[in-house]
Amino acid sequence: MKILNKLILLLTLFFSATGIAWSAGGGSSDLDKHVGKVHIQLSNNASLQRGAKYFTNYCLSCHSAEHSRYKRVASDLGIPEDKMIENLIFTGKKFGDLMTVAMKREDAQKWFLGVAPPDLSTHTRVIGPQAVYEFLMTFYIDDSRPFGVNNLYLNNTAMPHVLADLQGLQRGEFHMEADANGIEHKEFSQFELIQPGSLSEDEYKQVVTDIVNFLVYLSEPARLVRAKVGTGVLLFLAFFGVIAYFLKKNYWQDVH
Amino acid sequence: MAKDDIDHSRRKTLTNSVAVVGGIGAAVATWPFISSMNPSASALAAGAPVEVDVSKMEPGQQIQEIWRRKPIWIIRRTPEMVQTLGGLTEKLRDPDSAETSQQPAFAQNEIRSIKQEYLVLVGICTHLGCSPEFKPDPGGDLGAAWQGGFYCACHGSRFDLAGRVYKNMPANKNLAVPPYHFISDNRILIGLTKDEAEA
Amino acid sequence: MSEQPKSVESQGLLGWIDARFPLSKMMREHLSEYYAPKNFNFWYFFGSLALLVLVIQILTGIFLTMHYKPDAELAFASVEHIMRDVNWGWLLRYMHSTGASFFFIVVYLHMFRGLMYGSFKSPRELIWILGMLIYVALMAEAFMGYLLPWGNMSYWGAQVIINLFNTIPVFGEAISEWLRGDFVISDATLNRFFALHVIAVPLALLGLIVAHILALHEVGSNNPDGVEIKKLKDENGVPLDGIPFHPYYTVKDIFGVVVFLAIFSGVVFFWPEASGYFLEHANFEPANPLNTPDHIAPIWYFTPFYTVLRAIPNPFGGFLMMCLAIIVLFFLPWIDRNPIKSIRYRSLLFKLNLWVFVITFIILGYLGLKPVTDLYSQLALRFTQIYFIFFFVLWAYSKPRSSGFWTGSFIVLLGSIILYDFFRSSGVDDPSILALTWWTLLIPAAYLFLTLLMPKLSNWDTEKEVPERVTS
Repeated sequence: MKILNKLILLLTLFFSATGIAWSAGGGSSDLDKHVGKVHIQLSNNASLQRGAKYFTNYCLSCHSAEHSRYKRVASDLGIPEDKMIENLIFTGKKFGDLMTVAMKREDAQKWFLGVAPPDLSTHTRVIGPQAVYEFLMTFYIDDSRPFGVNNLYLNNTAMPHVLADLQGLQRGEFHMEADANGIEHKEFSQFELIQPGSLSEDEYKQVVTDIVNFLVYLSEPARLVRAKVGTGVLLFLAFFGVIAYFLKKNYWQDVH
Repeated sequence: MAKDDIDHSRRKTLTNSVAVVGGIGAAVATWPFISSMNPSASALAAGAPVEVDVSKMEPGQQIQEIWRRKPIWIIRRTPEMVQTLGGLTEKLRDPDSAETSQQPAFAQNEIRSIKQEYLVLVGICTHLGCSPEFKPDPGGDLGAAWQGGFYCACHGSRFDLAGRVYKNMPANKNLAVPPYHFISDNRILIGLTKDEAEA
Repeated sequence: MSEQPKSVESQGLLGWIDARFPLSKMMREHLSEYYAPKNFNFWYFFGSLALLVLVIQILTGIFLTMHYKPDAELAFASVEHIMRDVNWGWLLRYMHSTGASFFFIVVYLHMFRGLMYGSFKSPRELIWILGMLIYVALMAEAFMGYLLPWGNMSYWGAQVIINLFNTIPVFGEAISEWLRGDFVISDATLNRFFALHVIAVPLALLGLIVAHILALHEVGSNNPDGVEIKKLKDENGVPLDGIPFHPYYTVKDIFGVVVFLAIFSGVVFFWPEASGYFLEHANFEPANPLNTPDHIAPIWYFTPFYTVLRAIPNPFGGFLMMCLAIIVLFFLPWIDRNPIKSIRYRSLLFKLNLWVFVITFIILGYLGLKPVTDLYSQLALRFTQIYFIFFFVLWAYSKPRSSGFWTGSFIVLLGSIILYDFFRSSGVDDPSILALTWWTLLIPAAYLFLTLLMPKLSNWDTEKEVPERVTS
């Protein structure tokens, strides 16, 4: 079984190399200190369904998900067709249609300070779930901005706080801090809730978690099935591997 | 090199099992490849049922819709048109629509439709797939015996006003009737029969 | 009357074919009567595995081509269409993207095997050269394939790499415009890369691979002992240490294939992005000519050479060094001229040198993935120096050398490095960069000390007796 030892050694090398690279590269912001880490759970279908509802209600009027179809979302999340059409499809779209928005790109750019809202089909795969979570958690009042709010994750964001009636409005408290070179920076201290929303802090966190959970699904629908198929494939290969090994051993008696 | 004490029956069994298990694995592995060539979700969405409003149609008028990228005709037949259908039995190849592949069960009758007023057909000739022409008026360039119907210019196949093919034509099947049903008096949903829609 | 077909031993359908096509003969020559050394070890799996990955890539590629649209307006959406709308499209796509990375993993291990056991040495020089051509074709194939998803990283990666040709004096701009068919990467570039990726390079690859295998079967396989098994044959002309490839190595390779497929499936089904190393995160947004990703890095298998490129401050110089880093590999058969093939009988110093080379290659690869910092750019230069000196050392170990040779080459090489350090740090007055420059000098200095002075100072250059027959 020398071969297996070598193989294990090689695999360990491979994974530890990528592991080192990953840990060295990860971690862009420290906002999780204030808002916590998002816990993605694609097996939680109820959360995905709620996320889909919030997404179509709050996001889909400006953001498209132009590579995704209502029908696929419904069948993946187990939402019946009539419920889907009634509660999640608003724009007169058909069940099999792509989740596009009526807003023209040029109009969108005009309304949102020159930035068209990004398509959300794959966006979560680009910036990662934690980033989306931090973005939705850290809107704060800033009267200098056109929509009256700013964001800690994405400074000077062009997006209004569409979830404000749920979260309420919070004020950001900042203090000055000197960095290693002695230059003073504005640093975030904490939030203070000025105008409560309809949800408690924990309820709102759950809403955002549901949305992020759904967006993770949306950016790669195959994720719901690939692990299942993969398990089957690996079990088959394990079985095949055993007989292939005995066949090899049998033939090689001739040689050794 | 070869030793005498090698168990050759075991070797044969193992060889066979590897061949069988590997063969099964390879066969299963072809499925994703084959399946990927089936209509994709976008093709299926484009082929979703189509709703048509027929309230504005004039008697004798034909309109064309697209379902699954195929032309679908809706003809609002006048009572005179319907009347021609009964007298043609002798001249038609399949007057009773016995060929079940060409229409859902509800259209397996003389008028080949749910309501006799509205005929719904797939506008593709059953010979080689040209799209026939609607020639509602009797006589004319198709001869004095012509009672009105559909004429395929490609190879000359003739169909009556229920899409039934005449005898001795290049086409040997009646024009197909797509699955459809009335969702209200004046609205037709093409693509699903009533049973399918309710299922 | 028609002429009688030539008489053959086989009967039935096979006989009918054999009378008209050398089917049985080819099966015999390449499988059942191709005698391979009986002592192949773990490292000898990777040749057949490379062939397997090729088949996977071609098959999945054909089916992806059925759904992909090589049009700048449609390409990104068509890939998402494959990922969502096409039945099992996600599997085809992940197999293809994972296959690309696994191709390089397998090929790098295959090449390393050649390095360890001297498989490039006479009479196998041509096999090595054909193999290098395959490797270069594979890099071209991977580079062009990477543009096709038309993600933002595809776009900017291709932009940066094509712009390398700009550094060529006089003709540079004309060449890169010709390659792109436009002034930036555009629809025209995408369309031609598609043509090259799905037709031109695969055709060339197939031809080269057939030639690689024919050349191998002409001279016979090397083995971990580096012994020529054809020297000792029995009365039937069969090598004493040879066994027929079929069934012995076919059953062994089946087992290897299953283990490989298990690892491959593990990635395809459970880790297809490989944390952004196989599929980069920035590539999940469409190409945007107005918005460069924060950090552009080539995909991992190119990064060792990318680091060499970045290590040289002069752009054209960097480009040349990068090309040289690949070209030098072609000449390996004439660089390492030591008659002992296998690492098993080479000196301890040879082994150390080879392992340092492996580590150097990995470090260069790692640095290529990272943004340039002061430390990393110093390290990049130091390990680039080691990368090239490795080949000198390899040549030096070809035969016993005089004490003066070792001292002389040590002084000359270290001297040139120090001279270059003085040259490049003149005008630099940032003390931290200067400190880094001189501290990292220890890296090539230590390497030179180990490889060029230890032959004098120790008996680590002792080589072992090569046995007459293979050992296991």
